[in-house]
Amino acid sequence: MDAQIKKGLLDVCVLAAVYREESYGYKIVSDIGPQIGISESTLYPILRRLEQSACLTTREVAHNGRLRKYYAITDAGRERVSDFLNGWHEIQAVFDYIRGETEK
Amino acid sequence: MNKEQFLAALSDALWRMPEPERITTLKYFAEVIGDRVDAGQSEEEAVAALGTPEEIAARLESENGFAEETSSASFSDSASKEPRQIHRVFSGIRTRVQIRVCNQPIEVVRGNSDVLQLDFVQLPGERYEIQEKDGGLCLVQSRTAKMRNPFRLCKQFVRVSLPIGYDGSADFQTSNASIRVTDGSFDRLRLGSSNGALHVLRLTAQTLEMGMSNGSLRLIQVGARRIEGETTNGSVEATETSSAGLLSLSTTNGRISLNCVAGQNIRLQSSNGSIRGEIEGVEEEYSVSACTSNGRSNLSQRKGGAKSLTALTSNANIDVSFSGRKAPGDENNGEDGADAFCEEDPWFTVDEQTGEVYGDEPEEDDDFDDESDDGDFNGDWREIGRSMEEWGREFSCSMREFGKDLKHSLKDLERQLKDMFG
Repeated sequence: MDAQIKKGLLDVCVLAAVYREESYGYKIVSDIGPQIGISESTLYPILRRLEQSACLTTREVAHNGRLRKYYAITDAGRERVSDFLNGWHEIQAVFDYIRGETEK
Repeated sequence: MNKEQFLAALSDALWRMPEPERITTLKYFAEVIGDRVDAGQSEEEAVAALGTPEEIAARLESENGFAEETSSASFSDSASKEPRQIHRVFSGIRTRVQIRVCNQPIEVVRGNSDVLQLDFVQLPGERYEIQEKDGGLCLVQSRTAKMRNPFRLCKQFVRVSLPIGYDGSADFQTSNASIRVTDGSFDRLRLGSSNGALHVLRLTAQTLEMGMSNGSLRLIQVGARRIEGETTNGSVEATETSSAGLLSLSTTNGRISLNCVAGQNIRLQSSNGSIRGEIEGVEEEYSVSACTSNGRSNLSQRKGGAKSLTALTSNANIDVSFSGRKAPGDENNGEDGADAFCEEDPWFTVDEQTGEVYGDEPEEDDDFDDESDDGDFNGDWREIGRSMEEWGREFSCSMREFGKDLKHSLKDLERQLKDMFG
């Protein structure tokens, strides 16, 4: 996948991974890995960005004698996802245009 | 690398991040390593899957930008009595690099990644400052250690690995040590030191300026639009080097030797040293002006050439010949062109009168070979040891060369005096 497109999709992908229930770094990577290749190192700046823009909230939970940070989606985060989904037909239109022009 | 080592290295790589943010980042990475270990991986496997600390730091910096437009850091006296090895990685596009240090050699290489890497050793009592501004990067040693260990010349060094495709300007200044720049392309490159040697190898530049006192200059496979090299009490050697404009090499008490050298305007000047070697092209191309006061010159004055050659010395001979081959184009300033010049052994010059061979010991040839195999500095103390040894060897080589130069100059002088007074 094109790196620029992937970059745009990753934020929404991460939000989708915590949409139903809160999750943590390693689990998010395992969940979205099959769809879009990503490592914890790539995930970290995204989590940081989403937290700073208030799309995610965090809490720390003790697990196996160490701390684990859980990320939960906020209303702003849900809005971000629905914006993406609603905007999809615009992306689809561009996609169709590109395909139409190049297949002539 | 195990978890603890990785986190220590990461903490170091995140030196520009504000403290609270760095702690949060380290906690995150400690957590994911823990989760990977819980899932059955070893610490080493888990760490390897995350990439190097430098990559992580560079990515965080470029994506989130915690570094200000202008940032600076200083490294002042650490409480430790031990030397501290410092490794810094800089991402982003750089147009200027400047290093100002004292009493330690500088080595500059072209790296194989898109980040700039800086390695140096801080001794107790020393202070360094790194400043970044508008694409410029500057390392300044603002305080030297009070107690100077006489063997320190061999112990410390600054190593710069430039990003792939770097083509900005650079200014490297030190004292009592050598500077070596290999493989690279520069806009303006300035080198300055004393009591050491300046070596440039396989590089191109718009302008190359080399200034040295009590040391030798050596240029090998250099292409530039303007080259100016000046030293006192040292020899100058240029091999497979060309300038599209001025090529000026001067020394006071040393010889100048040339091998496959080309330039639009060649100026060679010494006082008590000989000027010898071969210049690309045919004599008719050049306006020649050669003068020695108390020596012999094989060059005769001539006018009318499109290029000019000036050779001046006082108490020694001038023996310059032309290759007879057409110089490969005046605009040639690339290493490819320089490579095509000739395949003669550049390392030796033979004195016709004494039959003595001047030049480097074979080991130093090996040094250069080793250099090309060199990987990036990876924080290994053995590597530092090796560099120390290498620089020590180089220093002793340049001192030996200086001694030989001096001996040669004295012999020349003695001969001149004998000629004059019978």
